Amino acid sequence: MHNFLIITPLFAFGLSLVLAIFVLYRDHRNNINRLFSIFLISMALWGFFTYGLRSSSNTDTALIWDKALVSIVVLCGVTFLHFSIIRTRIKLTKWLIPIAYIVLLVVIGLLPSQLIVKGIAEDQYGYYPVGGLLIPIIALASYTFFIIGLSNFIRAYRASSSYEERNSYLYIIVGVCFFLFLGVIDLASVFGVPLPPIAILGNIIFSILASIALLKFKLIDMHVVFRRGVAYLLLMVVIGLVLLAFDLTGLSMPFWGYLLLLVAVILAFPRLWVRIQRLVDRWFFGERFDYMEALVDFSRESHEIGDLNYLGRSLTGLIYKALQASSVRLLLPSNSGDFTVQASEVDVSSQITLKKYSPIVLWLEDNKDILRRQDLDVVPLLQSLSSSIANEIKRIKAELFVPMFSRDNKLVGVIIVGEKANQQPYSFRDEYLMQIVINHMAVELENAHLYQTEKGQREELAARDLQLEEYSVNLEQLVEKRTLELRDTQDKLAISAKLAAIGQLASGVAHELRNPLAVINNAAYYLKMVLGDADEKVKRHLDMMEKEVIRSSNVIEGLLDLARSKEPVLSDVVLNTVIEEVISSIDIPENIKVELGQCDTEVTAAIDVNQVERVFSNLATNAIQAMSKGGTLTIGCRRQKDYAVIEFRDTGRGIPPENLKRIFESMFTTKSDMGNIGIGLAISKTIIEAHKGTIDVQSEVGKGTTFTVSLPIIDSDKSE
Amino acid sequence: MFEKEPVFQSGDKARIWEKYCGFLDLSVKEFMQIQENLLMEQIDLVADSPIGKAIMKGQKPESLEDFRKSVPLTTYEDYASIIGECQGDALAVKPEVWAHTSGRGGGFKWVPYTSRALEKWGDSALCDLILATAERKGDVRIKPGSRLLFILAPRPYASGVMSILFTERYGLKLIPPIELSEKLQFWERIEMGFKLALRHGVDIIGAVGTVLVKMGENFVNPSGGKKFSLSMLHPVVLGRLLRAWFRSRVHSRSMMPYDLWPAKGLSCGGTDAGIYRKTIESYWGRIPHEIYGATEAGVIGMQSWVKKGMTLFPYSSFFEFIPEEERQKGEKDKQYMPATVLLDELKPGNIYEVVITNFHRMPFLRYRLTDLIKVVSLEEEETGIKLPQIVFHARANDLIDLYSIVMLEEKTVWQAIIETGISYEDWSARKEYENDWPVLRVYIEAKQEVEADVLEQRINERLQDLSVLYTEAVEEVQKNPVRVTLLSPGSFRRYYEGKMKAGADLAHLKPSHMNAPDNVIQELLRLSKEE
Repeated sequence: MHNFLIITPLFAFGLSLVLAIFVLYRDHRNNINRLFSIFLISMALWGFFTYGLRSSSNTDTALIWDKALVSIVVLCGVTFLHFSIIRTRIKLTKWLIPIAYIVLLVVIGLLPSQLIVKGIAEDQYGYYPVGGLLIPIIALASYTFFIIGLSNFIRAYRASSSYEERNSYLYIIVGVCFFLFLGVIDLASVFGVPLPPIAILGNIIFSILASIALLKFKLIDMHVVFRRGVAYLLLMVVIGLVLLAFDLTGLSMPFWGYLLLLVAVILAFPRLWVRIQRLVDRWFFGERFDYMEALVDFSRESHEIGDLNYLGRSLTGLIYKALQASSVRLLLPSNSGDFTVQASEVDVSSQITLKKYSPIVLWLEDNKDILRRQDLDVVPLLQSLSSSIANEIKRIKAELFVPMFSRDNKLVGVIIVGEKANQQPYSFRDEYLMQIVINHMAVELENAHLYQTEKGQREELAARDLQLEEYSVNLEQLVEKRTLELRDTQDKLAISAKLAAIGQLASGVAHELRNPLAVINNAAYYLKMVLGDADEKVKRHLDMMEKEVIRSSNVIEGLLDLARSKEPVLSDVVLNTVIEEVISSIDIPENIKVELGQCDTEVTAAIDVNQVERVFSNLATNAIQAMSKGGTLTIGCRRQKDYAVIEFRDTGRGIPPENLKRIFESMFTTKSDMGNIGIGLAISKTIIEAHKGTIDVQSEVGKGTTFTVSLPIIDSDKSE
Repeated sequence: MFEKEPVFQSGDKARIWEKYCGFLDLSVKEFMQIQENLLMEQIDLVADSPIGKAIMKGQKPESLEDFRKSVPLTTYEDYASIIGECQGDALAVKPEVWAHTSGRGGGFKWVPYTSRALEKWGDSALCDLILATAERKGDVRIKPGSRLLFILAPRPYASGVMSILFTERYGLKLIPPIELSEKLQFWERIEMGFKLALRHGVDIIGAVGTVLVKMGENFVNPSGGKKFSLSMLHPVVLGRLLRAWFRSRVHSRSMMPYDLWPAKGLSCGGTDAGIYRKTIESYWGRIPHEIYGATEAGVIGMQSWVKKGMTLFPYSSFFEFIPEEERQKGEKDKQYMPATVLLDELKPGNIYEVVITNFHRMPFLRYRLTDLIKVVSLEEEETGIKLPQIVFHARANDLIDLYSIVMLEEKTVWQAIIETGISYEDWSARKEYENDWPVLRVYIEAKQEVEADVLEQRINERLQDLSVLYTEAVEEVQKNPVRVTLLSPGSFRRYYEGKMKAGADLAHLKPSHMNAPDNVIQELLRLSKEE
């Protein structure tokens, strides 16, 4: 029993001191933290002075320890009262705190006298104080301070709607009740009732319950530090128990020796530390510890996962299990910047979208904290949430909006957690769990999202490249086609311009030359008549005159035809007859043989006979002129699909390639020495094109030339 | 009809403050963000309704700028044929309740309220009560069950609808209870209210300033209140009386209303709260907390806990403001559409006409309230509020134009009459012509002997103290433009009784202070001669 009475205050001292250090370590500038740590330090001193009293070797020493103990008990009451007022924000009379501190000062002032402690007595439990005249008043005052503080916490407990806050207050209330109850037993000994002095156990119980209130229910704002702290504390307890067992064997050691040994052991047992930390975490997170571990493992491995869908599904699934939520949705930014559902667990019916300028998104970006549904009705900015979104949130029973931030603090995702399956509110532990995972996962998800976006962009880019390539090929063809068309148009335009100029020239020439030619022709005719018996030489010259006048007239007519571009007057004509007519009408030198090649009979085309005869005549004449040394002109006519194809093939000298390109240009000729002005083929091409046909040429120098005319034929069946 | 509001019921003071009064911490940017969010939602909600199509001409604005460009400014006439006598078919949603305005400008204007709008309106009114009783930031002194002595007009006035919200949504205890209150005439209601408050106690008083002044005057007047009745023998009442007597003795003064009805706060609407600020404080021991609202808009703004300038409430309506020069251009040319500015463009010292667009599916879009406000500062240093601070200036229809130099508003004339120090029953003023020369004619029923010309001189002097422009006008014409017509004692009472007998509505029981029509003035003059 003696050892128990010695060890327990020491344990209470250690426990309260460690708690006080952690509270201060968390935020020593916070007034609530300061007050609570002062209260805890006074509790620690209570334990320490009790230890001093019980381990005193004589009554004089014990009396000193006891007087200090009395002042510390009052200090405990005063600081608890002060802490309760500051923490609960319950307004009491402004004089209460000053009065409490004045009482404390008075007690300290009276300690040297015998009004409070008269002396020290000893019984089976050790030394105990003999109360003076004022001890009942001091006890009553201390109890009053504690009871007012207690009532503050009870009122705050009733007023609070927060699950965490209510629970934290509850732990404090229960702790103080224990403390007060056990205190009565100690007081009894002061008044001579022989009961064991076990009030210090109340300190221990209070400290443990306060730890729970701090740790589990966020009595004051503490997170990881405290979780670690409790683990350290437990480690100390384990080692302390070992030391106690060591002590019970009878081997003694000084107090500081124990303490140093304790620290050394703590540092030397990392494995034990890990186990205890896991134990605390398991206690902290309850039955969801396994899921939490799975989540942490998952978040550790997730950097290897590039599949966003898989990542999203796995994450929502694990959160769903770990938090025992009714639904979980992962929202990621779309191209427009709005947050849309990427993955969801259970309820997939809702495709909730948070606009990028939605008050929720703005709040999450600004506050970088978890948003609770209950805050939607309270936070000023969120009160402007559109009713459609508010209704949707209500419908899906969303409880938590958890933001995910990238390394550069950009909001990269939002997790919407539905209400708990058991409809209880989410606790601080749940939110803490979420934050652990989200902190890990945000970067991975962002990477995956970026990867997917980048991949998508790459694929899109590839598709576009392909498309571009196709466009490029097509474009080349198109450009070529358009260039040809353009060139053709340009050619036509040039030809038109040329023709217009020719036409203008021809009109002028015709106007100026026709009359003189007619006069010359008439004069030649007259001379032939009057000089009927003239010698042959005169007659030949007169014939030459007539011939050249006719040729000149023909040239003028040709020029006029070229300029006029007369519309063909179509009639159905059998082409063979036209060919035969043309052959019979031209002069064919003796050294030239004209053959009718492959000819389909009865090939009919709708043509202007005069114009087509002129074409055929031009072609035949050209061929004959090309075979000045003799040769064969082969004329063929056949049907090829819907066209009549007429060929004029000679075995003449051929046309060099450089001239071949320009052969159909007007005023282009290689036979100017023969009086040719180069309009025959140009006229022919114009005529054939007016018939919607084509005219082509193929030639090989030294072997001959072939002109091919295609004219659309009349199909009797179709025409019907 | 209304569910209990959970945050107020929770009793969590920090959350209550944040929910109801948190808007006082907004920045201008956040305020505008909230306004824009709610406006765009409102456009979405009403664009397809017949009333939305009619007002927005079938267009659906895509942005705030688009909205201000494409939707014309409106007046009640634009809605009268659509909603008229409580016709809800054209609205975006079936209204929960209808209320009407006082009808001072002619007929009543019926206004539909959606349930969401009522909730927000209730929140703003509760905020007013919280701020009325608060002494510092975060100080919440009311809770469900708090006793509210409510002396305002009953249903179908908007204040009557509010009383329902107070009881059903927030669980406040109304004195007198609604079912009793609605059966009583106005002065009976006041009497019953104070009587019940003496028995049950009171936490807040909600009333117009004039009523509080009248009650205070009656109380301290030896011939007024403090009549003995049997109900005073009730132990609780007796206890209150003794405590009040003891308090007054301790401070060596006569008993004041606040000794008997020690309310935590006074919530006052209307122009008179500011005018009687000091008088009310002397009788009731509290500075009245001013709230500014309109039936068509709900609560528009309110003072903070220091009870100085008013801050606009962001959740009921979207605010635009017509600068005074633009408004005057519009007055001269009825075809002219005045330009508006937004909250972030307000300039201190300037006067603006308020234009509102309802939120929460309510009908009014770019609606001219014809209320003028004055911006006193762009923030309130004492409270740390970063939003423009305004005061109610006047109703545009209640202005009296003198020589086209000064527009006298009710508040200024009222203040001038009070500052003459004369005791009076009531008054009414308007612009009249004397030999084709404009004058400010004040019809006043004095409670003491006074000469009209003396009073004319005093009012003129006080007006010159209160208005620089008035002084300039007087200096310009070198004449005193004030004319006083003294009415015989009891003229206003007889007018009131006559109207009561004729079954007139509450708002028409007394002549308006400014620009009363000819028939009202003629009636007053006739009654004055009846003495």
